Amino acid sequence: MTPERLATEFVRLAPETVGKLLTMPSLWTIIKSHVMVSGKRLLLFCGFLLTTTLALGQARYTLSGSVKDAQSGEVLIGATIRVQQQPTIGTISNEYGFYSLTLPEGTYTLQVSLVSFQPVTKTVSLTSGTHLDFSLTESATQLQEVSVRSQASNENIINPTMGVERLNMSSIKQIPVLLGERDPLKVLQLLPGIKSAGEGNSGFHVRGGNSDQNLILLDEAPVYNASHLLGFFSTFNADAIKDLSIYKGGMPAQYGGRLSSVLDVKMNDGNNQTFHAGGGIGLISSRLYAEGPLKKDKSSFLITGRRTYADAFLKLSNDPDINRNTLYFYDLNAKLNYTLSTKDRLFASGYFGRDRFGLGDLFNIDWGNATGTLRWNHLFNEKLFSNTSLIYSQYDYQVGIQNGSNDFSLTSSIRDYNLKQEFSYFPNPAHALRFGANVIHHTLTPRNRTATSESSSVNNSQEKSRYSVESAVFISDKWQLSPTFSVEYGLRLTSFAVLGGSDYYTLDANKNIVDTLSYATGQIVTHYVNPEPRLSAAYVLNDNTSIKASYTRNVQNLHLISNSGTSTPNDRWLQSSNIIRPEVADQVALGFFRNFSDNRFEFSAEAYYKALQNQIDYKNGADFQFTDALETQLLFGKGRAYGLELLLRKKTGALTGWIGYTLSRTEKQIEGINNGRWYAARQDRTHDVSVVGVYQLSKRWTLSATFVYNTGNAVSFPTGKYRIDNAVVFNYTERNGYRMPAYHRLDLGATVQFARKKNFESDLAFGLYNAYGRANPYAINFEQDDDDPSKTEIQRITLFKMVPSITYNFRF
Amino acid sequence: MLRYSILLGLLTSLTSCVDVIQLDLNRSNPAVVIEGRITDRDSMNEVRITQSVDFDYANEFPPITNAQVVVRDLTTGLADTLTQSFPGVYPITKLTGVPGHRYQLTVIIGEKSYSALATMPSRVELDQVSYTTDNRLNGTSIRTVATYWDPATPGNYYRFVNYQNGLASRTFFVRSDAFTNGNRVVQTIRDENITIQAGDTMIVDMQCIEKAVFEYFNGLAQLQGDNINQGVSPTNPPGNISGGALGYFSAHTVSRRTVVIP
Repeated sequence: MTPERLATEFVRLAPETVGKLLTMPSLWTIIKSHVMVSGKRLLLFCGFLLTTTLALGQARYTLSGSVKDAQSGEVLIGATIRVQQQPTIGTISNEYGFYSLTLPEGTYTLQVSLVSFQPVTKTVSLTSGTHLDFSLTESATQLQEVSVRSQASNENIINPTMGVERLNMSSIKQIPVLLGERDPLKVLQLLPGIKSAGEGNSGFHVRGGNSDQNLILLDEAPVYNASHLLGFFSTFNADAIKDLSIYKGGMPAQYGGRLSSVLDVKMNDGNNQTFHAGGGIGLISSRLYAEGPLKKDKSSFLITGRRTYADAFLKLSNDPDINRNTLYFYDLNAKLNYTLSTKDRLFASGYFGRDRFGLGDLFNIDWGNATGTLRWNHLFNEKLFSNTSLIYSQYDYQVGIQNGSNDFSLTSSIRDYNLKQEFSYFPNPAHALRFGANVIHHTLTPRNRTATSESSSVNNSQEKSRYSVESAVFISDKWQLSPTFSVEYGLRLTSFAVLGGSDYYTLDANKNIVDTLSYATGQIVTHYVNPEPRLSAAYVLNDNTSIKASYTRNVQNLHLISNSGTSTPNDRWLQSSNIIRPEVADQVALGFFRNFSDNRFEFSAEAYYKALQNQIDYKNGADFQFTDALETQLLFGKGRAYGLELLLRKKTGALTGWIGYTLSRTEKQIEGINNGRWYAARQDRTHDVSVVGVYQLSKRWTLSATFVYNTGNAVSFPTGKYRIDNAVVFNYTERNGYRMPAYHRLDLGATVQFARKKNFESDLAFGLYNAYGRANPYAINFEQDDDDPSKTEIQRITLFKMVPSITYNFRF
Repeated sequence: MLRYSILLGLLTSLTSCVDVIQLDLNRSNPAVVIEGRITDRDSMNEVRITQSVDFDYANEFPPITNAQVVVRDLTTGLADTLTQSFPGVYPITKLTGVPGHRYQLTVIIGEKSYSALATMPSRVELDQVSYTTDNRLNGTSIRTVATYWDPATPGNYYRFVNYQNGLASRTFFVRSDAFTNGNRVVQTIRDENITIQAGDTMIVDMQCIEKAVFEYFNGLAQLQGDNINQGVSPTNPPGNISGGALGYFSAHTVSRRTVVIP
């Protein structure tokens, strides 16, 4: 079969078969009765399993501690701890670097490994509960790693979690990016199943999901708009970030609230050994950071900042129409952490970012996120780890318009107070439990309009903030049933209570408001409860081959209403209400994983099918500009997304990188759009290819290249034209019935490391974005020809062709 | 959105480029397009019936010359059976619009029949037309400015049409009183399709239109914006004509003022 034929067959058969399976009542009943009957029974079930396994052994002791970076004292996430005497037993350090292993009395050799660190081996004689910390040293260059013969891990084979990708910042810093701005979100987009929201855009779609269906967490705080400057930059400053994980499916039960993915970003804690500072000077922005111990080994701080100066170029112009404009963003990350005792650690972290844009004195918009997280890690005993977090998150925008007598401002915000308690419990090497609860209070302030001058003809709007409480309890267990079979299963039970204090509406069939309902503050308007079962399993065929399967349900109660495909700062967040129902996604995935050549090559193939309920799109001719009650502009229906993702990756050696391919389809079916037929979602792309290569040429020079190819997005183009008054109007007969031209691009990068002087290190990074100058359309416009009104023309707008960049980075 | 494209333009003016391309667009069956308007003035009351054409054809829209067109004042019961004056143009001669009256348009073409209903809103006077200068990235533009008092009751909708030295602009510009109910409004009319110069005589028509007609023209205005395929999926605005024709039927008042740009 030719690949084309395979593709067509897959695309034809997949939705029918998997769709049927998913909607089959019998299967659903089986899952229900076995997994999610109730949280209580699940607990009993877990308890039973634990007691049975516990009763079996001889004297057992727990070995626990943390894994750290030897140079900086930063805790290391995701390090693998293996017991040489019992090759099937192992664990992974959690997001605070903590690990716990319970073993029978005896002498063991433990090996701890993590990509781009040299593995460490320690022998321990276990005769009582033992505390053992590991310090890992970063491998200086990847060349050395080859010479010591890499100890690559087969963690990807044996871990039951699937659909997950972890990136640590050091592994991605060589990859070339637009304008030299190292942006972790743009690197993520090079992985299969994760697609860019547009040229140079940091927004992304995961397995066909909308961009608001990604839960983006920065030190546990949700970031509601993760982009700066129209999406060309993300809010994540590479200097501040330690590690990021993205779950495309099979999310563990501690995560919830969005349908498509979880992007969990962890900030650096700050070096608790020595003081360091550094930064970078680039074409469009500069960065600075400082970190160091407050008290050596005990506490540390980190502060990073970044600001763009594109507007400085505007100021150079003599033309007042240009130099009166404002355009910049900045962001700040800060973190403090204290080790109070061997059992207690306290973290405080915060992010603050702001974009400002002003068009003379006519128009201005500024927007930004602020997040704060206060966390307390406590070790009750060597098996029970607790994390308590108090989280604040806010996103807001303000638009100012000065136009004749229409002077007014529009402001909108979303604000969360969030309390989370989570326990990790390691009863024995076969089980790792997580359980906890989470309560979030949301305040959504709709677009408030305020007149900004005495003579303004604009009336202030009277819309009140909407309130809700989103709570969840969750439990999950990672269970090694046998040396070859492991499962991670769990349940998340979420409740969303819409609170009164503002107006709600009743709509007729034509979406006109027929009744306004007022509820007193604190009164419950509606209440949605949803169980979200999570299950993933891995069966290891041999040391380097496994198959995995997962089922995940996710529920989403906050919805971003966007009248465009790419996110803009003034998109509006709405919560579930009497009209908007919670969005629900059920995903099943199957995977095949195989490593070659001593785990130096990793191959994976994952197929997924996702069924979505209560999806939102806007009605034909919708108006977002003048409408306060947005519900009147929306339509609801269902969606489906399915695909196959292939990834071949080389993690070690002089040449590293990967090749990814995704074959997928994403569709919606909504009454009132395309006569109720299934139609391609805007982000639907059939083929998606990415190739990433980083080559260590010498000790000083590193070369890199990335290539991407994808089918164009689904778009609506006119099929004809007609005249209204004396204007030519285009006839759009179908939503998303056409395709943008295929997109492809090659980026090149080179980094030269300068000789180290005392403690001063520096490098110079060169980049060339879109190296062969492919004219990828950013937009296609249909216009009446200005010179010859008897004609119409199609204009292609191309943003970036061969954009060079140079960035100087330093650290001391 | 338009403001957004300006920001985008600013950001990427150094690297972006625009060129004209060819796309292979689908063929479509010609659709019937009906534009009907009855006003409270003596002129401009007519029904025009044309057909749509494929995108790559010239902007010549075949008139439909064999239609039977009737406009009826449902409030008084008077009917006007229209006679074609030019190909595809059917003037309304026996009726003049009266605020508050309800009108029915019926068009029969061969086997197919189309109909629409419209009620003429109360008249609001355009008190004054002046001009202002707008400074933007692409230079300074002269804009016309309309001043009027919006009535105290909510639900007023306006359409503004610029005439430059007698020629109507093709820009669709509509406003509602959603933000400005009951106030004196000074409205700058952003019109990107004409370049107003010193010495020009500018006429502005302010039409008081119905909600359905406002939604129709607001939809057309969005289609005229730039960068539509960057984000929002463009859709045909919902018209008020039943039977499957494109277009609209509007009963509106017209208030006209003139300004000469010095």
